[in-house]
Amino acid sequence: MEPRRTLLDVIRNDLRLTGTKEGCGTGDCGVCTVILDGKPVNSCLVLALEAKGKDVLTIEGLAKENKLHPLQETFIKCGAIQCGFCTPGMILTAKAFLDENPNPTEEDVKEAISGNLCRCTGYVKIIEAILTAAEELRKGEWHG
Amino acid sequence: MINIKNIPELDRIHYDNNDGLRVGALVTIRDVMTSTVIQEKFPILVQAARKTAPPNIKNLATVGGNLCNASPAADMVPSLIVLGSKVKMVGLQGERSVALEEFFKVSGGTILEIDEILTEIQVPRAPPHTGGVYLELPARRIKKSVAVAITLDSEYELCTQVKIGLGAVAPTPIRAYKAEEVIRGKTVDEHLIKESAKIASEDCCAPLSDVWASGGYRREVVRVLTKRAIRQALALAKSDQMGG
Repeated sequence: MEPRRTLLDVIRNDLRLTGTKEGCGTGDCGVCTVILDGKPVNSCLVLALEAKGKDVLTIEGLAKENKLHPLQETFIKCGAIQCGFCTPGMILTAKAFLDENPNPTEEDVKEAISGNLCRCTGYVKIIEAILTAAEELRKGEWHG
Repeated sequence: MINIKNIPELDRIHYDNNDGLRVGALVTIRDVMTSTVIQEKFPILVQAARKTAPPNIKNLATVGGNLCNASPAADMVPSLIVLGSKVKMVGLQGERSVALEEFFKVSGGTILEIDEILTEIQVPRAPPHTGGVYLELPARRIKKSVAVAITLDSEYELCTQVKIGLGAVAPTPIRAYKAEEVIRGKTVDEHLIKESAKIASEDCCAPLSDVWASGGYRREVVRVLTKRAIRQALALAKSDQMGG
């Protein structure tokens, strides 16, 4: 493995998991977010070698047995997707956030996704989708 | 390229009553925010950490990186400066420590030599009756920040120590020494607070004029933030809270 290669590059080009997007490549936009050992991180800022021995969750790993994660369901239901480019990163950031804070306020959600840019300006529906998913998850029926 | 991220001694937070707080260079911004000892003893650092970056970046960004990047706008720096922090550097020639405000070069970058790394930030224990506050104008392109730490005497009357740190108003983060002189050794009232804030904005900084904002506007932001920060730090010192 070339030491300079990023986790993002390896996920997309070696593993061919293209659900993880590349936007700015400099940590500003958040579209490359993956969950590394339970924490959301910008995979463009992580060297692939740094992820050795760690648990990496990409958007492809979120659904279980063909059942979409509640966040994926509510993003669809709430129309929180326009072009879709920010969606994988947005959902993974929200997933890690709800794991930690299952009962958030709207302000908490805004803070949580403040590093994930949506250039379709669709934040209202994204926030609604995350709050709705939080409700769903609190029912405890999802075992992901 | 040498990866230093796996050196375990560098990611630790340690506090004791004699040495104060020691923060390893690899401690993340999130670690600072969630550290119970920092929350209890140095809440001003939690304020600064909160404002440092969005959550995903906080999981990766380190205190050492925030310093070594040498941005005049680095969020952790003004608060660490007003707490009297030193930085420890280790290289082939041995170890050395300098006050954080001496770490940055006006020409850009830091005083680190090519064979040196920053290993630790050392923050002395805050004296009793100390209050500390970090405030910023969050607008990205014209971000300005002010940190103030004030220590009062045992009667809660005189200001015995004060440090004012300013971010993003000069080529490096700076101390507003002249503004500190206005209130040091005095009973700090509203008149002195306004005078100190005025001097911070007029005599202590050199903000740019550019397409985002005029130098005059930036000075005005420094004045307002300094005034608010002194007021809040004073209130916290009177209630014997470091601030939070």
